[in-house]
Amino acid sequence: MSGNFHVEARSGKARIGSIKCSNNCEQGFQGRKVLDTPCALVLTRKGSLPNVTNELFPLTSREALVQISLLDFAVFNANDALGGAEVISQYGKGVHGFCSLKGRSTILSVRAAGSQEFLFDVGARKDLIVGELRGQTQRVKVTVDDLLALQQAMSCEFFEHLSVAAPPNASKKQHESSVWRSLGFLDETISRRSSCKGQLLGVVQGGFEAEYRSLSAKKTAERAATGAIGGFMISGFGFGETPDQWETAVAAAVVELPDELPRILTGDGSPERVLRAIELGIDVFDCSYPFDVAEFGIALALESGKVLPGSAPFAQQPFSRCAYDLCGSGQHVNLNDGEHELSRQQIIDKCTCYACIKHTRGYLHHLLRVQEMLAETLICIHNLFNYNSFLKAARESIRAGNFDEFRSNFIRKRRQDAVSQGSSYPQ
Amino acid sequence: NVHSACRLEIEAVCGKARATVMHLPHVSAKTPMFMPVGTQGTVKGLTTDQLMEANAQVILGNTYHLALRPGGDTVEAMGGLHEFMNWPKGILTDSGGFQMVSLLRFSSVSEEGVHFQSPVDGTDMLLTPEKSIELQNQIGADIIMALDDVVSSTVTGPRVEEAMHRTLRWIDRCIAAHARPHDQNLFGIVQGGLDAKLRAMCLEEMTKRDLPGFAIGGLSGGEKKDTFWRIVDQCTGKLPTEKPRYCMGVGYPVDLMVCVALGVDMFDCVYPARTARFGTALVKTGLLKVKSSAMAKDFRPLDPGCECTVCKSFTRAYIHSLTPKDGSTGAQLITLHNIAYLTNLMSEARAALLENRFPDFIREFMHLQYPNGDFPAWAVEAFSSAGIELSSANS
Ligand SMILES: [Zn+2]
Ligand SMILES: [Zn+2]
Repeated sequence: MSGNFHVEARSGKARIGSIKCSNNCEQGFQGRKVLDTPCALVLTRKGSLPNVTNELFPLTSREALVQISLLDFAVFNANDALGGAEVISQYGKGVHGFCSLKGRSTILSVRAAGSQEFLFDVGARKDLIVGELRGQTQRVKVTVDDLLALQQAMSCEFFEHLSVAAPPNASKKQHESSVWRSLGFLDETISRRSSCKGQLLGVVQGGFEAEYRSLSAKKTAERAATGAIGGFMISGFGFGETPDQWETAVAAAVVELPDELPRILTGDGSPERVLRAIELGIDVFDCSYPFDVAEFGIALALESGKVLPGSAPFAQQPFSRCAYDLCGSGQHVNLNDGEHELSRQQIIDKCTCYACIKHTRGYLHHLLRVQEMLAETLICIHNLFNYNSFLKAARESIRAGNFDEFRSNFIRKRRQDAVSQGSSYPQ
Repeated sequence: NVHSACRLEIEAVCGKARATVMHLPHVSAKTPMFMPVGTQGTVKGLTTDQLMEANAQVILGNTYHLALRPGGDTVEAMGGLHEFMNWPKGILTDSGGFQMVSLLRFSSVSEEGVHFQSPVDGTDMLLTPEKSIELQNQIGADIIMALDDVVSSTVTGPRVEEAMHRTLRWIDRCIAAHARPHDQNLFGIVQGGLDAKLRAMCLEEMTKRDLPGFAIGGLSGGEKKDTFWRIVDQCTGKLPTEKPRYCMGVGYPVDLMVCVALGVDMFDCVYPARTARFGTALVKTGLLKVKSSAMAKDFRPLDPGCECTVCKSFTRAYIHSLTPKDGSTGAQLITLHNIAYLTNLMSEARAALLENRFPDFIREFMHLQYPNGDFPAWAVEAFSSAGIELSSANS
């Protein structure tokens, strides 16, 4: 038993939980030394939010776990022949000290949200996986020992073991191989971690077939019975699966997992998916969504039921990662639109984020037009703040026992907004 | 003074160097001061609060860039640049002329103004003194600059003289066109290239105009340092003491300290942000190449003793590990430190002036920059002319 996760309330399968923060982490919102779930696992690059230096991190609100990408630290700086484990262990203050993440709970992830790292692994070695470095052709090998050395140096609150995803349309053999190789990595990690601190997350693979997901979850959960596992990572999504495939796979996994441990889901974290995931019993989801849309100058307006002036249909944006997702809604502001040029409004009325308190749509529109870095910095700050507020509202509805209503209202509003703007909204 | 929205309070003097408070509409700026460049209504990736923390008092806006996007009308409609970018302190805008001459291949100068081809649609455009002032009135900076006829500091011959005379004719057109003298300070720019006679002539004529402040232009263009400091010295010797002096485009720490010793009050330069993008941090001991592999396990802050937020939170090893694939955060962090370094250097110089120990401060500064004592000859001579002997610190 890990004892650092506790379910506090339920609404259907959806649940409110709290993750107790470890010693090197004084995190906690408004003085509480816990993190409420469901919450986001926010993407970082080298321990820093995309476009937002950690010095500005507090501006995005504190209610989230921080994802630390394995590859960012395995290949620390391509020009030095040094690994992150060596540098950070010598520094001696973990990833929190090194990246100035004091007060945050972190998860060492093998695959960062929205990335193509370690996409598929075709090898059959039991002790390592091979991946491609972001934006480069360099191949990187990571062994179980490499992972443990990094975790030892960084002291993340949670860490994920190596695993292998099955490609879309995988054969029976490929599916079985991905499940058993992943379990092999798990056993390997349990037996070799010795004094390595942090909660180990058991990884559930198995592609999009209920049969293999269920097998992977069942076998991984068996290892939890010994107390060796502090939570589960349901992995292997974002490969072009349909919403139905996704739902089938997630549901088949969750049903096999013990109730008392946190469940973390990988994927892109679009609002509709997140709500469905919560409904299925997921506690934490990794997300690149707030950052992905910021890259295109899109500010989120998730809590508003109204169609905001100047919101172009999302479908018109050059945005493909979410193609099958439910992005046709009006709950965003496209700050690229010329109509914002003279707008002295804040991004969203009453939003209390740093970007909204300080700046107008007109200014952000200008920064985007002249391609100034500050545009993405400010939009990321707003988007993460808005996304966290949306999750907070979802948590409140679970606590109040009316999560189903919250979700269906949200979806209905999104559909109305989409239809009124002439874009399609999947059923 | 009816035509000034600037009051200069001189608090301490040491030789020609001075510490002042420059009361501007949006800020009472303590000088000597360094002004970070915020070309398009933002200083490279930094929030306005980060700029405040880095003790920026006045920032620069580039009229040429702002006129292209979002345009003078838009800035005006949005309440002026202060409100547009939400920067409550001081702003200075350049005239736009220098940007055109340096950035655009197809530009030429006539008596009317600067002719150039629009980089947006290729049409022929003209920036006259009147248009420059109109744009700067729309932008609404605390300090606006007269349009001058800029020639590169390495050009010699009759073109330099022509430019000097034209600059003088244009200053009168600028003064006549200035619609907001009550809340915007028009500074005249002293030109004349590297020719002492032309500079003298320009100084005499320019200072006949009762302007709120003066700038030394046409330097920092690749001329010899020995010539550079002598021109600065000549200008500060003739400019009225009761008005601010601004040396344009200077940002290397040693150059800054020489100019302060010679009596300059304010500076701007893109250098701290530009050098940050190449991975160089400005530190008390000179330059720190953060990309160098020697930094990989260096757990000290960029500049030990620096009080900036970057130095308080991050090590050299961390910033070293950030590569372009990790996003822009590495350059952002170094830029923030570099700006804080220069503003801090200025406030240290100011403190030394107020406490009557400016020569000692300069000696200490130079010994940190050149630990072997191999000072550049021009700097030794320049400081000496300002009454500061570098060698005596060894005693
Ligand atoms: Zn906001
Ligand atoms: Zn610093």
